[in-house]
Amino acid sequence: MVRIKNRYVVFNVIYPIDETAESLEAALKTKSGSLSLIHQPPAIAITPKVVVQAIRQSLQTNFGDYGNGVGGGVLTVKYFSEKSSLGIIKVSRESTRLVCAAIMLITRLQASPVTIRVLRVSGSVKKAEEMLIKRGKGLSIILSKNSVGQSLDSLFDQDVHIEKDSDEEQ
Amino acid sequence: MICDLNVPWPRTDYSSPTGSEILSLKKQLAILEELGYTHIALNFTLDQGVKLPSGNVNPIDLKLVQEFQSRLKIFTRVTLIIDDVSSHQGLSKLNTSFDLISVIPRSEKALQLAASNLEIDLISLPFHQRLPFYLKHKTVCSATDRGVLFEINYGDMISDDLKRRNFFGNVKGLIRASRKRGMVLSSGTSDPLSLRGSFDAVNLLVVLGLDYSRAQATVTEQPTKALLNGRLRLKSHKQAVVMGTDILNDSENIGHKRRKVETIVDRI
Repeated sequence: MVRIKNRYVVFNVIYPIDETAESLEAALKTKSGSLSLIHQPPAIAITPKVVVQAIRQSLQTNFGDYGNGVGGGVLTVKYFSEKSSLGIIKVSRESTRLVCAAIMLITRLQASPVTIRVLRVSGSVKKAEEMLIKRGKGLSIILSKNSVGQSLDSLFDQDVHIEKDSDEEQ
Repeated sequence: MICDLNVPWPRTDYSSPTGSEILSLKKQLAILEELGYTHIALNFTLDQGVKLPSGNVNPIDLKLVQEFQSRLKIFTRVTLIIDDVSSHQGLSKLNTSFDLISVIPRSEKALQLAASNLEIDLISLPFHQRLPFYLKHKTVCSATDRGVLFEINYGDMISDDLKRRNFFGNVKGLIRASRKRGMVLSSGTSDPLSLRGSFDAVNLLVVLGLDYSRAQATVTEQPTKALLNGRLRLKSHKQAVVMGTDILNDSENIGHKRRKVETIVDRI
Protein backbone atom coordinates (compact mmCIF):
# COMPACT_ATOMS: atom_id res chain seq x y z
CA MET A 1 0.00 0.00 0.00
CA VAL A 2 1.44 3.26 -1.06
CA ARG A 3 -0.30 6.48 -0.24
CA ILE A 4 -0.97 8.96 -2.97
CA LYS A 5 0.77 12.00 -1.60
CA ASN A 6 -0.66 15.45 -1.81
CA ARG A 7 0.00 18.85 -0.40
CA TYR A 8 -2.51 21.09 1.29
CA VAL A 9 -2.04 24.79 0.69
CA VAL A 10 -3.54 27.21 3.19
CA PHE A 11 -4.28 30.51 1.48
CA ASN A 12 -5.71 33.86 2.35
CA VAL A 13 -7.50 36.23 -0.02
CA ILE A 14 -6.67 39.88 0.60
CA TYR A 15 -8.96 42.55 -0.78
CA PRO A 16 -8.01 46.14 -1.47
CA ILE A 17 -8.35 48.52 1.45
CA ASP A 18 -11.61 50.37 1.20
CA GLU A 19 -10.84 53.95 0.21
CA THR A 20 -14.07 55.27 1.59
CA ALA A 21 -13.70 53.73 5.02
CA GLU A 22 -14.16 56.26 7.75
CA SER A 23 -11.27 57.01 10.02
CA LEU A 24 -8.90 55.35 7.58
CA GLU A 25 -6.05 57.43 8.85
CA ALA A 26 -6.82 56.66 12.48
CA ALA A 27 -7.12 52.93 11.85
CA LEU A 28 -3.72 52.82 10.16
CA LYS A 29 -2.14 54.17 13.31
CA THR A 30 -2.27 50.87 15.15
CA LYS A 31 -1.49 47.35 14.10
CA SER A 32 -4.90 45.98 14.97
CA GLY A 33 -6.53 48.89 13.16
CA SER A 34 -4.63 48.16 9.96
CA LEU A 35 -5.41 44.46 10.31
CA SER A 36 -9.09 45.19 10.57
CA LEU A 37 -8.87 47.29 7.41
CA ILE A 38 -7.10 44.56 5.49
CA HIS A 39 -9.37 41.77 6.67
CA GLN A 40 -12.71 43.28 5.90
CA PRO A 41 -15.19 40.77 4.52
CA PRO A 42 -15.40 41.00 0.73
CA ALA A 43 -17.95 42.92 -1.24
CA ILE A 44 -18.20 40.14 -3.82
CA ALA A 45 -19.37 36.59 -3.45
CA ILE A 46 -16.47 34.19 -3.66
CA THR A 47 -17.14 30.49 -3.86
CA PRO A 48 -14.63 27.63 -3.90
CA LYS A 49 -15.48 27.14 -7.55
CA VAL A 50 -14.42 30.66 -8.40
CA VAL A 51 -11.11 30.14 -6.66
CA VAL A 52 -10.36 26.90 -8.50
CA GLN A 53 -11.30 28.47 -11.81
CA ALA A 54 -9.01 31.40 -11.17
CA ILE A 55 -6.11 29.12 -10.30
CA ARG A 56 -6.63 27.00 -13.41
CA GLN A 57 -6.85 30.11 -15.52
CA SER A 58 -3.65 31.43 -14.01
CA LEU A 59 -1.89 28.09 -14.58
CA GLN A 60 -3.01 28.18 -18.19
CA THR A 61 -1.90 31.75 -18.89
CA ASN A 62 1.40 31.55 -17.04
CA PHE A 63 2.54 28.00 -17.56
CA GLY A 64 0.47 26.92 -20.53
CA ASP A 65 -0.89 23.50 -21.26
CA TYR A 66 2.05 21.95 -19.46
CA GLY A 67 1.31 23.82 -16.25
CA ASN A 68 -2.38 23.16 -16.41
CA GLY A 69 -1.84 19.51 -17.12
CA VAL A 70 0.72 18.96 -14.38
CA GLY A 71 -0.82 21.21 -11.74
CA GLY A 72 -4.50 21.14 -12.55
CA GLY A 73 -5.14 17.45 -12.01
CA VAL A 74 -5.74 17.12 -8.28
CA LEU A 75 -6.66 20.74 -7.70
CA THR A 76 -9.64 20.95 -5.35
CA VAL A 77 -10.72 23.40 -2.68
CA LYS A 78 -11.14 21.52 0.60
CA TYR A 79 -12.38 24.46 2.61
CA PHE A 80 -13.10 28.09 2.02
CA SER A 81 -14.62 30.56 4.40
CA GLU A 82 -15.93 33.68 2.80
CA LYS A 83 -15.97 35.57 6.07
CA SER A 84 -12.38 35.10 7.04
CA SER A 85 -11.20 34.62 3.43
CA LEU A 86 -9.11 31.66 4.51
CA GLY A 87 -9.09 28.41 2.62
CA ILE A 88 -7.33 25.15 1.92
CA ILE A 89 -6.64 23.64 -1.49
CA LYS A 90 -5.37 20.21 -2.25
CA VAL A 91 -2.66 19.93 -4.89
CA SER A 92 -0.46 17.14 -6.09
CA ARG A 93 2.89 17.04 -4.39
CA GLU A 94 5.08 17.39 -7.47
CA SER A 95 3.35 20.49 -8.75
CA THR A 96 2.99 22.36 -5.46
CA ARG A 97 5.47 25.06 -6.35
CA LEU A 98 3.96 25.57 -9.76
CA VAL A 99 0.48 25.93 -8.32
CA CYS A 100 1.71 28.30 -5.61
CA ALA A 101 3.36 30.42 -8.28
CA ALA A 102 0.10 30.43 -10.23
CA ILE A 103 -1.76 31.48 -7.09
CA MET A 104 0.69 34.30 -6.54
CA LEU A 105 0.20 35.58 -10.07
CA ILE A 106 -3.57 35.85 -9.71
CA THR A 107 -4.65 39.49 -9.72
CA ARG A 108 -8.39 39.19 -10.01
CA LEU A 109 -11.26 37.04 -8.83
CA GLN A 110 -14.35 37.66 -10.92
CA ALA A 111 -13.06 40.97 -12.18
CA SER A 112 -12.49 42.38 -8.71
CA PRO A 113 -8.84 42.96 -7.78
CA VAL A 114 -7.45 40.73 -5.05
CA THR A 115 -4.18 39.33 -3.77
CA ILE A 116 -4.00 35.69 -2.83
CA ARG A 117 -1.36 34.83 -0.34
CA VAL A 118 -0.08 31.38 0.54
CA LEU A 119 0.19 30.99 4.30
CA ARG A 120 1.41 27.48 4.59
CA VAL A 121 2.02 24.31 2.66
CA SER A 122 1.31 21.20 4.62
CA GLY A 123 1.48 17.49 4.01
CA SER A 124 -1.63 16.59 5.95
CA VAL A 125 -5.06 18.07 6.05
CA LYS A 126 -4.96 18.06 9.84
CA LYS A 127 -1.99 20.37 10.14
CA ALA A 128 -3.42 22.67 7.51
CA GLU A 129 -6.66 22.80 9.47
CA GLU A 130 -4.81 23.57 12.70
CA MET A 131 -2.95 26.40 11.04
CA LEU A 132 -6.19 27.79 9.69
CA ILE A 133 -7.97 27.68 13.03
CA LYS A 134 -5.00 29.15 14.86
CA ARG A 135 -4.80 32.01 12.43
CA GLY A 136 -8.51 32.65 12.45
CA LYS A 137 -8.56 32.75 16.23
CA GLY A 138 -5.49 34.94 16.44
CA LEU A 139 -7.04 37.39 14.06
CA SER A 140 -10.35 37.50 15.88
CA ILE A 141 -8.56 38.19 19.17
CA ILE A 142 -6.58 41.06 17.67
CA LEU A 143 -9.62 42.45 15.94
CA SER A 144 -11.92 42.17 18.94
CA LYS A 145 -9.58 44.41 20.92
CA ASN A 146 -10.03 47.09 18.36
CA SER A 147 -13.17 49.13 18.03
CA VAL A 148 -13.08 49.12 14.23
CA GLY A 149 -12.90 45.39 14.23
CA GLN A 150 -15.68 44.73 16.64
CA SER A 151 -18.11 43.88 13.89
CA LEU A 152 -15.69 41.20 12.83
CA ASP A 153 -15.50 39.63 16.26
CA SER A 154 -16.33 35.95 16.46
CA LEU A 155 -16.27 35.63 12.71
CA PHE A 156 -13.53 33.11 12.97
CA ASP A 157 -14.87 30.96 15.76
CA GLN A 158 -16.95 28.90 13.46
CA ASP A 159 -15.99 25.29 13.30
CA VAL A 160 -13.97 24.12 10.44
CA HIS A 161 -15.32 20.96 8.93
CA ILE A 162 -13.34 19.42 6.21
CA GLU A 163 -14.39 16.24 4.58
CA LYS A 164 -11.82 13.59 5.00
CA ASP A 165 -11.24 11.85 1.75
CA SER A 166 -9.91 8.43 1.14
CA ASP A 167 -6.24 8.98 0.62
CA GLU A 168 -5.43 5.37 1.26
CA GLU A 169 -5.85 4.24 -2.28
CA GLN A 170 -3.12 2.08 -3.66
CA MET B 1 13.75 39.27 9.52
CA ILE B 2 12.22 39.69 6.13
CA CYS B 3 13.17 42.71 4.06
CA ASP B 4 11.62 44.66 1.26
CA LEU B 5 14.20 47.16 0.18
CA ASN B 6 12.15 48.94 -2.43
CA VAL B 7 9.01 50.75 -1.36
CA PRO B 8 8.82 53.72 -3.73
CA TRP B 9 8.67 57.19 -2.26
CA PRO B 10 5.72 58.96 -3.95
CA ARG B 11 7.82 61.77 -5.41
CA THR B 12 10.78 61.62 -7.77
CA ASP B 13 11.87 65.18 -7.15
CA TYR B 14 12.36 67.31 -4.08
CA SER B 15 8.78 68.53 -3.74
CA SER B 16 6.94 67.29 -0.68
CA PRO B 17 4.23 64.64 -1.13
CA THR B 18 0.53 65.40 -0.72
CA GLY B 19 -1.68 64.00 2.01
CA SER B 20 -3.29 61.37 -0.21
CA GLU B 21 0.10 60.17 -1.43
CA ILE B 22 1.21 59.70 2.14
CA LEU B 23 -2.02 57.88 2.91
CA SER B 24 -1.50 55.39 0.10
CA LEU B 25 2.08 54.91 1.26
CA LYS B 26 0.73 54.11 4.70
CA LYS B 27 -1.73 51.62 3.28
CA GLN B 28 1.13 49.95 1.50
CA LEU B 29 3.17 49.78 4.69
CA ALA B 30 0.18 48.32 6.53
CA ILE B 31 -0.11 45.54 3.97
CA LEU B 32 3.62 44.88 4.04
CA GLU B 33 3.43 44.57 7.79
CA GLU B 34 0.56 42.12 7.52
CA LEU B 35 2.52 40.11 4.95
CA GLY B 36 5.25 39.62 7.51
CA TYR B 37 7.95 42.03 6.44
CA THR B 38 10.03 43.56 9.21
CA HIS B 39 12.60 45.75 7.43
CA ILE B 40 11.50 48.25 4.82
CA ALA B 41 13.43 50.78 2.77
CA LEU B 42 11.68 53.79 1.28
CA ASN B 43 13.17 54.34 -2.12
CA PHE B 44 13.67 57.77 -3.59
CA THR B 45 14.35 57.55 -7.33
CA LEU B 46 16.37 60.33 -8.82
CA ASP B 47 16.87 60.99 -12.49
CA GLN B 48 20.33 61.88 -13.59
CA GLY B 49 19.33 65.36 -14.71
CA VAL B 50 17.73 66.46 -11.44
CA LYS B 51 19.71 69.12 -9.69
CA LEU B 52 20.56 68.38 -6.08
CA PRO B 53 19.66 71.06 -3.55
CA SER B 54 22.49 72.56 -1.57
CA GLY B 55 21.16 71.65 1.86
CA ASN B 56 19.56 68.36 2.82
CA VAL B 57 19.60 65.95 -0.11
CA ASN B 58 17.29 63.43 1.54
CA PRO B 59 13.63 64.35 0.92
CA ILE B 60 12.26 61.33 2.79
CA ASP B 61 10.73 62.50 6.02
CA LEU B 62 10.28 59.51 8.29
CA LYS B 63 8.13 61.58 10.62
CA LEU B 64 5.33 61.32 8.06
CA VAL B 65 5.12 57.58 8.64
CA GLN B 66 5.86 57.84 12.32
CA GLU B 67 3.21 55.39 13.48
CA PHE B 68 4.93 52.59 11.60
CA GLN B 69 8.30 53.12 13.19
CA SER B 70 7.50 50.98 16.19
CA ARG B 71 6.11 48.24 13.96
CA LEU B 72 8.54 48.19 11.06
CA LYS B 73 12.15 49.11 10.77
CA ILE B 74 12.22 51.78 8.09
CA PHE B 75 15.31 52.80 6.14
CA THR B 76 15.85 55.35 3.42
CA ARG B 77 17.29 54.56 0.05
CA VAL B 78 18.18 56.52 -3.04
CA THR B 79 18.23 55.19 -6.58
CA LEU B 80 20.13 57.07 -9.21
CA ILE B 81 19.33 56.46 -12.85
CA ILE B 82 22.53 56.43 -14.88
CA ASP B 83 22.41 56.82 -18.67
CA ASP B 84 25.65 58.50 -19.32
CA VAL B 85 28.81 57.18 -17.76
CA SER B 86 30.51 60.55 -17.46
CA SER B 87 28.04 62.19 -15.11
CA HIS B 88 27.54 60.33 -11.89
CA GLN B 89 29.05 63.00 -9.65
CA GLY B 90 25.82 63.27 -7.66
CA LEU B 91 26.65 60.02 -5.97
CA SER B 92 29.30 61.41 -3.68
CA LYS B 93 26.89 64.03 -2.37
CA LEU B 94 24.20 61.44 -1.65
CA ASN B 95 26.62 59.10 0.03
CA THR B 96 26.11 60.11 3.61
CA SER B 97 22.42 61.00 3.66
CA PHE B 98 20.82 57.65 2.85
CA ASP B 99 20.97 54.21 4.40
CA LEU B 100 21.20 52.54 1.03
CA ILE B 101 22.49 53.70 -2.33
CA SER B 102 21.54 52.02 -5.57
CA VAL B 103 21.70 52.74 -9.26
CA ILE B 104 19.67 51.83 -12.31
CA PRO B 105 22.10 51.53 -15.22
CA ARG B 106 20.53 52.24 -18.60
CA SER B 107 23.38 51.09 -20.80
CA GLU B 108 26.01 48.40 -20.78
CA LYS B 109 28.76 50.93 -20.06
CA ALA B 110 26.82 52.23 -17.09
CA LEU B 111 26.32 48.70 -15.82
CA GLN B 112 30.03 47.99 -16.11
CA LEU B 113 30.85 51.17 -14.26
CA ALA B 114 28.34 50.42 -11.52
CA ALA B 115 29.54 46.87 -11.19
CA SER B 116 33.22 47.68 -11.00
CA ASN B 117 33.72 51.14 -9.54
CA LEU B 118 30.84 52.94 -7.92
CA GLU B 119 30.38 53.12 -4.15
CA ILE B 120 26.93 51.57 -4.05
CA ASP B 121 25.01 48.77 -2.36
CA LEU B 122 22.58 47.66 -5.01
CA ILE B 123 22.25 47.55 -8.77
CA SER B 124 18.64 47.58 -9.83
CA LEU B 125 17.84 46.52 -13.37
CA PRO B 126 14.46 47.08 -15.06
CA PHE B 127 13.66 43.39 -15.48
CA HIS B 128 10.14 44.06 -16.67
CA GLN B 129 11.51 45.65 -19.82
CA ARG B 130 13.64 44.17 -22.52
CA LEU B 131 17.16 44.80 -21.31
CA PRO B 132 19.23 46.81 -23.80
CA PHE B 133 22.24 44.61 -23.10
CA TYR B 134 23.15 41.03 -22.42
CA LEU B 135 24.07 40.19 -18.84
CA LYS B 136 27.62 38.89 -18.86
CA HIS B 137 28.95 36.64 -16.17
CA LYS B 138 32.11 38.70 -15.87
CA THR B 139 30.31 42.00 -15.32
CA VAL B 140 27.74 40.64 -12.94
CA CYS B 141 30.24 38.72 -10.86
CA SER B 142 32.63 41.65 -10.61
CA ALA B 143 29.79 43.32 -8.74
CA THR B 144 28.94 40.34 -6.54
CA ASP B 145 32.60 39.91 -5.66
CA ARG B 146 32.69 43.47 -4.38
CA GLY B 147 29.56 42.90 -2.34
CA VAL B 148 27.31 44.92 -4.62
CA LEU B 149 24.04 43.05 -4.98
CA PHE B 150 21.59 42.82 -7.86
CA GLU B 151 18.01 43.69 -7.16
CA ILE B 152 15.00 41.97 -8.67
CA ASN B 153 11.75 43.94 -8.50
CA TYR B 154 8.72 41.70 -8.89
CA GLY B 155 6.06 44.38 -8.40
CA ASP B 156 5.66 45.70 -11.92
CA MET B 157 5.28 42.37 -13.65
CA ILE B 158 2.37 41.09 -11.55
CA SER B 159 -0.31 42.99 -13.40
CA ASP B 160 0.97 42.92 -16.96
CA ASP B 161 1.48 39.96 -19.31
CA LEU B 162 4.21 41.46 -21.42
CA LYS B 163 6.18 42.63 -18.40
CA ARG B 164 5.79 39.20 -16.91
CA ARG B 165 7.25 37.58 -19.99
CA ASN B 166 10.25 39.89 -19.95
CA PHE B 167 10.64 39.37 -16.21
CA PHE B 168 10.84 35.59 -16.44
CA GLY B 169 13.42 35.71 -19.20
CA ASN B 170 15.54 38.39 -17.60
CA VAL B 171 15.55 36.80 -14.17
CA LYS B 172 16.62 33.51 -15.69
CA GLY B 173 19.41 35.45 -17.38
CA LEU B 174 20.48 37.00 -14.08
CA ILE B 175 20.41 33.66 -12.29
CA ARG B 176 22.67 32.25 -14.96
CA ALA B 177 25.03 35.22 -15.15
CA SER B 178 25.40 35.63 -11.41
CA ARG B 179 25.85 31.88 -10.82
CA LYS B 180 22.95 32.10 -8.36
CA ARG B 181 24.73 34.52 -6.05
CA GLY B 182 24.17 38.04 -4.81
CA MET B 183 20.52 38.70 -5.52
CA VAL B 184 17.96 40.70 -3.57
CA LEU B 185 14.24 40.40 -4.11
CA SER B 186 12.02 43.38 -3.47
CA SER B 187 8.65 44.65 -4.52
CA GLY B 188 9.32 48.01 -6.15
CA THR B 189 5.71 48.91 -6.74
CA SER B 190 3.39 51.52 -5.36
CA ASP B 191 0.31 49.41 -6.00
CA PRO B 192 -0.67 47.68 -2.73
CA LEU B 193 -2.32 44.82 -4.61
CA SER B 194 0.90 43.90 -6.38
CA LEU B 195 2.60 43.15 -3.09
CA ARG B 196 3.10 39.52 -2.24
CA GLY B 197 4.12 37.62 0.84
CA SER B 198 7.72 36.51 1.08
CA PHE B 199 6.80 32.86 0.61
CA ASP B 200 5.09 33.62 -2.69
CA ALA B 201 7.82 35.87 -3.99
CA VAL B 202 10.54 33.40 -3.05
CA ASN B 203 8.54 30.54 -4.51
CA LEU B 204 8.48 32.28 -7.87
CA LEU B 205 12.27 32.33 -7.92
CA VAL B 206 12.26 28.63 -7.07
CA VAL B 207 10.01 27.98 -10.04
CA LEU B 208 12.45 29.98 -12.16
CA GLY B 209 15.26 27.64 -11.18
CA LEU B 210 16.89 28.96 -8.04
CA ASP B 211 17.31 26.49 -5.21
CA TYR B 212 15.22 27.09 -2.15
CA SER B 213 17.87 28.17 0.33
CA ARG B 214 19.35 30.69 -2.08
CA ALA B 215 15.91 31.95 -3.01
CA GLN B 216 15.05 32.38 0.64
CA ALA B 217 18.29 34.32 1.17
CA THR B 218 17.14 36.94 -1.36
CA VAL B 219 14.64 38.30 1.18
CA THR B 220 16.60 37.59 4.35
CA GLU B 221 20.40 37.37 4.34
CA GLN B 222 21.23 39.25 1.19
CA PRO B 223 19.23 42.41 1.94
CA THR B 224 20.69 42.34 5.46
CA LYS B 225 24.12 42.41 3.88
CA ALA B 226 23.14 45.43 1.83
CA LEU B 227 21.77 47.22 4.89
CA LEU B 228 24.87 46.34 6.83
CA ASN B 229 27.02 47.74 4.06
CA GLY B 230 25.08 50.96 4.19
CA ARG B 231 25.41 51.14 7.94
CA LEU B 232 29.15 50.62 7.68
CA ARG B 233 29.44 53.46 5.23
CA LEU B 234 27.61 55.80 7.55
CA LYS B 235 28.84 54.89 10.96
CA SER B 236 31.97 52.83 10.88
CA HIS B 237 35.62 53.39 11.38
CA LYS B 238 37.26 52.81 7.99
CA GLN B 239 34.32 50.80 6.66
CA ALA B 240 35.14 47.92 8.93
CA VAL B 241 34.38 48.21 12.60
CA VAL B 242 31.31 49.35 14.46
CA MET B 243 30.65 48.61 18.08
CA GLY B 244 27.11 47.99 19.22
CA THR B 245 24.61 45.44 20.35
CA ASP B 246 22.35 45.26 17.36
CA ILE B 247 23.66 47.35 14.53
CA LEU B 248 20.72 47.24 12.20
CA ASN B 249 18.13 47.92 14.84
CA ASP B 250 20.11 50.27 17.00
CA SER B 251 18.06 53.41 16.71
CA GLU B 252 14.52 52.25 17.33
CA ASN B 253 12.75 49.48 19.11
CA ILE B 254 10.92 47.05 16.99
CA GLY B 255 7.87 45.33 18.45
CA HIS B 256 9.11 41.78 18.74
CA LYS B 257 12.11 40.52 20.63
CA ARG B 258 15.45 41.76 19.43
CA ARG B 259 17.99 39.55 17.82
CA LYS B 260 20.94 38.38 19.83
CA VAL B 261 23.89 40.65 20.38
CA GLU B 262 26.08 40.68 17.35
CA THR B 263 29.07 42.69 16.37
CA ILE B 264 29.65 43.68 12.86
CA VAL B 265 32.99 41.90 12.81
CA ASP B 266 31.16 38.61 13.18
CA ARG B 267 29.17 39.23 10.08
CA ILE B 268 32.06 39.93 7.73
